[in-house]
Amino acid sequence: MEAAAHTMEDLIRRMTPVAAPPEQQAQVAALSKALEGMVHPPRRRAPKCQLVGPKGESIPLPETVFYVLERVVEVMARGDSITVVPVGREVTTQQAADLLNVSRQYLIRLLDEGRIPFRKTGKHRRLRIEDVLSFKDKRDKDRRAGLRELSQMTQEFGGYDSELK
Amino acid sequence: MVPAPFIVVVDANVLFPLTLRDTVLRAAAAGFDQLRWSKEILDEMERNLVSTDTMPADKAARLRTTMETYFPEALVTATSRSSRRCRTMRRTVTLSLPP
Repeated sequence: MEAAAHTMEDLIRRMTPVAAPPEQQAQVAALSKALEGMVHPPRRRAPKCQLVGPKGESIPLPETVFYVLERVVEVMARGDSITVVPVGREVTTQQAADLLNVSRQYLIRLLDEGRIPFRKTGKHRRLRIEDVLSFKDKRDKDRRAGLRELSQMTQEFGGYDSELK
Repeated sequence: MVPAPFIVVVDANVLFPLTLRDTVLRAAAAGFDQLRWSKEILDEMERNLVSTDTMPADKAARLRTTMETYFPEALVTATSRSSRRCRTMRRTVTLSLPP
């Protein structure tokens, strides 16, 4: 049992895809159902969950860990395998561009204009993941407002009546 | 990390119909694809919205500005490689819409 647990931990550390074996499928499905019940319908605060250790000690699960676990279990419950890939605290310009759904060229422009902070390592630029995500949050929020404005104009000029006849 | 999605050049005939434009922009905002347009494409959209009496000139101009403000990454510039590709695609790709 001890040896098997180590092997499983090793596999995950080496980023080998891991799937639930048939005898664990029912347990994984039950766990997935329980977690899904806690997140749907979506609410403002993450449900407060705890891990109960072998000696009965309880350890609180932070919000981010809870949602990662929920996602992992959801994938495994489908019978798919999963790999955990650490991303690190910094990303490359290409990774940042992918996260923002823009071209790398446009991302470089944002850096040159000082809109997102970065650090230079030799001739490469690296961005902190929090900086990229906070830029994205702000951009998405503004853009939602812009899209609402555009839809209002569509409505004002009869777009939703005339075109769908 | 996140796989790069499709790059889509949206021509003026896609941006002209109001509801289609809304849908295309929302799909891009949701990360389904990356939009590209040029100054010429936006000019054509604006011009046609006014000439067909779909919108008064000031509203069409505001619509265009709003699109440029919230999708700044979509604009390709005259010198960029994507701009040449954009022109090539405008010649070769026609998206036909039901009347």
